[in-house]
Amino acid sequence: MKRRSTTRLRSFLPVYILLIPGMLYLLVNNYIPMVGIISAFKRINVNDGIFFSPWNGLENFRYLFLSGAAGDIFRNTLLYNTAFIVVTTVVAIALAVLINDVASTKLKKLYQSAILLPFTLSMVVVSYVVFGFLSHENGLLNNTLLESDPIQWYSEGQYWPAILIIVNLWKTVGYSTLLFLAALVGVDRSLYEASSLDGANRWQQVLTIDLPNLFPTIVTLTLLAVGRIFYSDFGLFYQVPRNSGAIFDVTTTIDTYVYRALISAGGIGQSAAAGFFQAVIGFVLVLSVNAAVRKYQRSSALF
Amino acid sequence: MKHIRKTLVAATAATAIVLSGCSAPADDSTPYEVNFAYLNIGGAPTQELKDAVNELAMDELGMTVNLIPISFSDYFTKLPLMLASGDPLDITFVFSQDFPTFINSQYIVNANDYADQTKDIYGLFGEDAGVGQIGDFLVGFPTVKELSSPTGLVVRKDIFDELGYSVDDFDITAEDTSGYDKITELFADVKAAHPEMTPYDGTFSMGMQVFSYIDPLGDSGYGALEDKGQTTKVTNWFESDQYREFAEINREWFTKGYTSQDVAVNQDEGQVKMKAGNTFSFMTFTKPDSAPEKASQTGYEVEIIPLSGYGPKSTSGSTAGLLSVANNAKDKDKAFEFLNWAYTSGEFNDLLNWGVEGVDWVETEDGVAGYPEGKDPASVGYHNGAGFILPNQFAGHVWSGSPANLGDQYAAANEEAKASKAYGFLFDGTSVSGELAQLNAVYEQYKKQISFGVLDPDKGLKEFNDAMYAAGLQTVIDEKQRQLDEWLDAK
Repeated sequence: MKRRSTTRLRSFLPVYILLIPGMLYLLVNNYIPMVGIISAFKRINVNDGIFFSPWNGLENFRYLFLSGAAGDIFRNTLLYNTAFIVVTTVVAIALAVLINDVASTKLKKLYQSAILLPFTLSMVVVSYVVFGFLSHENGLLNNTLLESDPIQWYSEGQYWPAILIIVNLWKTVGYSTLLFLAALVGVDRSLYEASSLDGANRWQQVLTIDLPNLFPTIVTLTLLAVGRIFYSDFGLFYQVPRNSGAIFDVTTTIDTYVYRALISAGGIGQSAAAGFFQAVIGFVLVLSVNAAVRKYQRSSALF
Repeated sequence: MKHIRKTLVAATAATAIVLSGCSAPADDSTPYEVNFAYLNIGGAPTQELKDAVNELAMDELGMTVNLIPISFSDYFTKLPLMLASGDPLDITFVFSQDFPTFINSQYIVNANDYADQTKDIYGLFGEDAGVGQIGDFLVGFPTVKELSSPTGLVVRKDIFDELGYSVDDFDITAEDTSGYDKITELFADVKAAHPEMTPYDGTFSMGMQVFSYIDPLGDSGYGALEDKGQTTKVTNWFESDQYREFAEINREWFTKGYTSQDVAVNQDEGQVKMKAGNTFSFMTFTKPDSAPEKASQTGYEVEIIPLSGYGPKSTSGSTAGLLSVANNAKDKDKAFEFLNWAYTSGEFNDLLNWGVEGVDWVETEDGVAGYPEGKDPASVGYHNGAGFILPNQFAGHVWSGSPANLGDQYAAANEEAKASKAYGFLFDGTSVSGELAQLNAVYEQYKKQISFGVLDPDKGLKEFNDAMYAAGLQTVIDEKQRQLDEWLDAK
């Protein structure tokens, strides 16, 4: 027995050694800086540094929780992220199933590249594209469909949840679609043949073959997204609404609020407090959701 | 054997990849390099400019210069990082709102300790050299510029003349706003004659021009001294009649279609819009040579309609941007020596302002600077033209179009501007930093909507002020009043 495990270790040794630089990098770049999280509870000044600056308790959290905006920012961040997770997952699965069914490999590759393209665009570019649609004076929508009755898009909050969900979907669905597609490609084709022999139509095949096979991937992606549920895409919520004050109550999130509040320098402790909150809550959520998934189907859980 | 070799190859490959990120250490037998960060408005320095500046500094001081242009928006993001992380930085500019935090975080050096190295600067400014004094800490030195900030409406001269107007037709002051009716008339005429452009656009309107109407006491006016600082009672300007009037005038312009309907989401400055031919006018802070400056920025000749008269000489206005030595400077004596020289060297200021002599500008027979043969704003390599960011723009040449005695005109204008009662007082906001952060967020939300009339003032002003008070405005006002009273008693 002992000999078997040492031979195994020796045969995998090169791989472990190859892992060392990457692990070192992770250790130095990701784990060691975690110590800096104490900045959230200190009034930082540069000469005393992080370790010797004076403590100031929960003072840095005040502007986040005790301001009138606290309700808006937490509600927006949570609800938008939940909507994003649900909508993106559903649409990505649908697209993956559809692309999987395309017969021509050339077209398949074309669709895969096309669907990933928006993901590579910068949010600033996207914000100008959206501006091209929604500008009051020169935008596409106001000058064609709504010429008789133009809408002040950037002043009406009611449209923005839909606008932001659509823009986020368009930009990020490609990434999830490809992951689901990769999972679907691994499904044994004979399952489909067998099920159609039994009289299943395409919809039933999706429900009974595709979805169960996608379940581990869905869990992984959702779990990762849940871990970031208090983070928002700054570009999406700041650039796309073009920083328009009239719609702040539906477009402001934790990240944009912190940015607007701390525009002048010196808010290291305060921004660290926001980051602390986002990271700690995200961590707790990931652990809880993973534990729940583990109860349901052990093999699908992340760890 | 085989897998030992495999291991070695794998390990070497991995280490090589990691070490490729490291670079060779620097050689330190070179002359002292001054890292000079300045507000960049014109454009990046050309290689010739960098060489010329190095040559000049070597000749006169035995130092080399690393120019670090920082744009207005970079100031808020890049500069704090540079200061916090100890990047090489000798001289930088600091905006007044950051004085307390930079001093507390020890990002900058107390210039009081280096009075010997900076004698020429004191000679240049006299007692105004100490305007950046907080307690016993001297933050830095002001640049030679206008100290009061009147607001004006910049209009395109060609259309203005075409419609038969002249600047004398307009008589508007900070106290009397009835003259704005004439402007409304003007906008109506422009809209009728030129429907393809908006009469009024840009990123500033009266309500945001805090330096012209009040003494904002160090921030955007969360508690200010109204009436151009001629009172010692700290009040909320956003509740005043003056602010309400401005909001109502702008509301009229917006609803009648004179203001661009996208103005609340517009990020482009008025100059940019005028240059593209999209707007007839925009508002800005003005100074004696604004007309040629705006002409060179937009490519159109302009007229300036004054709207506010001289703003007060306030601490925020004069100390809006000071040149300081950063704590990152390796040799602080040399850094101050360089700073002192920068205030007196006409050549250095000309280089940063207009570029390399002979290439980007030449001296004309009137003794002012102008474009060389065959060069114009589009084709010249470098042209900054924002003299107020330089230590001493008048040590060098004035640009053609401005009178050669512009420096004297600025000095005269500075004399005329009345000093605010709180001139010299610097508010320390660390005890209310939470409230200030919240107020910033609220102000960001409402400032454009109210100042440009996008929101109906009847509802909007109440909403805005309620939100400000909810964010802690009264606490900040009380704290400012307390500190101001203390400072006044000590005088």
